[in-house]
Amino acid sequence: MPAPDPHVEADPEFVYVIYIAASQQKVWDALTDGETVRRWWADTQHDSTFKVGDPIIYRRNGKVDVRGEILDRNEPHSLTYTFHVEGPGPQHDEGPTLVTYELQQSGANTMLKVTHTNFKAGSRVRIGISSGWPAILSSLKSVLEGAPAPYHPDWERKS
Amino acid sequence: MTPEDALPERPDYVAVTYISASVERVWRAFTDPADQATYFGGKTEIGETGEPWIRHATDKWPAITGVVLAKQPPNRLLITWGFNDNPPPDRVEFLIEAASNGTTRVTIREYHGRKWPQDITDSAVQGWAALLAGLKTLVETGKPLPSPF
Repeated sequence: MPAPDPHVEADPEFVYVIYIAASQQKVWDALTDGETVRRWWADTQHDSTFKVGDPIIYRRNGKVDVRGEILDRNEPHSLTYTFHVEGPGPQHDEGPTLVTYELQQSGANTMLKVTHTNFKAGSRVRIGISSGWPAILSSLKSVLEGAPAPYHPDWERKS
Repeated sequence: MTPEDALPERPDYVAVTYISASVERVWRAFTDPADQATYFGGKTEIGETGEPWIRHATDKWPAITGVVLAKQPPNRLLITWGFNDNPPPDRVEFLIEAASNGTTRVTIREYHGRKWPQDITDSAVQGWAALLAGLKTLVETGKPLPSPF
């Protein structure tokens, strides 16, 4: 699957930056270990080898939330994958979006920047991920710094 | 200065983090000068509503100063934010609110009402991220986050 075509009428990209007191490799390992990711990703595991061309599937309580494909990988600096909300539903109909992790040494910390792009105008996916990323990445930071994770914060689906 | 009730509907920038601690604990770290010094880049003094606030200059950073427009412990602080009076000071709102499972959500909303060059935007994004990361690490682990800059 190539990168999705850009929308003609698009909502702006979403960018989130967080500083974590851990090495770049540790942050990379946490992001690309699909099983232990569940500890801080609100019970979601990622089925993926995280190799270019392979699928990535977000699975929660056995249910698929998101499907995508790893498009680019440069360990331990960056990872890009498509992010397509599982259907059926209006979020699925918006088509695939694009997620990029960038990791950079910043003093004794790692700066993790998540850029989520390719939202159509009036995107509902963008509203969801705008509250999701801060909660998930806050939880990642807590776990890597040995603090209790703020587990299942507000973004959890009220289903 | 524009009155508080004239805050634009949409902030120019929003930054959010979640912290495993009570609202009161986060507010204390947010307003205690000793705690603040570890993540705010310098010694900070915040007055009551209508009074000034200042983050004093260090050998690394210039002073930042402004006026406290609203202070509602333990949930909200609205301040003007500037390095001097020209250009007019920006406004920054800090919200500290209870989220689910005993966690606290901290939101920073920035209102500057003008287009910024990309390099200023990038440094603002990193600056707010560093402030939130430092506050979170201090409250959750009891240790300051090493300076990212």
